[in-house]
Amino acid sequence: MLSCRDTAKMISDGSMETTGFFGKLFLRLHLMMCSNCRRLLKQIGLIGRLAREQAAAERENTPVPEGMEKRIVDRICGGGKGKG
Amino acid sequence: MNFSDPDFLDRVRKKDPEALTAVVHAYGKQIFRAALGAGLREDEAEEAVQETLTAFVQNIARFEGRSHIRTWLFGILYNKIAESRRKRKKSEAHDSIDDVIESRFDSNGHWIRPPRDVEEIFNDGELRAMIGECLEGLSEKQKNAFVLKEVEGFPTMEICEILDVTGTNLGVLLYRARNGLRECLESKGVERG
Repeated sequence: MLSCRDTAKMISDGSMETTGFFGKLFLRLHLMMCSNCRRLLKQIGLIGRLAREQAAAERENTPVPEGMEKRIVDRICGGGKGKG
Repeated sequence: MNFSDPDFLDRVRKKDPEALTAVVHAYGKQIFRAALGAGLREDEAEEAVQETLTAFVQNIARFEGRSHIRTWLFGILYNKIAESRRKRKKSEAHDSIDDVIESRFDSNGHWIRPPRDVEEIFNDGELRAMIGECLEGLSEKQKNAFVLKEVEGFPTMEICEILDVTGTNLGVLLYRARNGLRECLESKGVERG
């Protein structure tokens, strides 16, 4: 039987995705009985979603600098310094 | 454009301007945004993109095509970021977050202090803003592992290759990053009361 500590580790380090059949079964049984670990699972999922949303919002507000791609192509094809 | 096509890779090795331009157009923006996500300023991020692609071209003869070009480019990028911050690099052998997490369980592994419902204290907008602040509290490697996994959506194997860590190391980094972020959000909830 998994302890809450074992379950928290599996939820947080990603091993819940890669564990075998019995690992997933024990995890599911534990989560059925433990509201604290269910809350942890929900929070870890929430943190990932919020980070994606925050990054998407920041990326939308920070456009790629104008002419950046041309400066890079000039630098790597022409051997110039590029930036500036 | 198939970037794994041997003919295309051969053109890249020969520094064919058209092929190099295709690589820049395909990955320049993605690398720029990843550099911003790793905490670089806009000017530093552009410099990092230029240096990454320049290093890519300079070392193209060593690229055997066994991994994807994207994996190789991100590997170069994260090496450059790590190099520039080596002096500030924290040791990954032990992290204070391990003690914080451990203090939440008793000797039998049961919760003593279970997680609090932060989403009942803050709304999504507040939580999103706080995630940005809390990410700054993580070590460089934890932050990079978390961003590559959750924001960039890279597969585990590819992240291991980019950060040059084993699967076990990556698990430790993600464990510390996710719990570090959760503890950070919870502490802000405690402050609010």
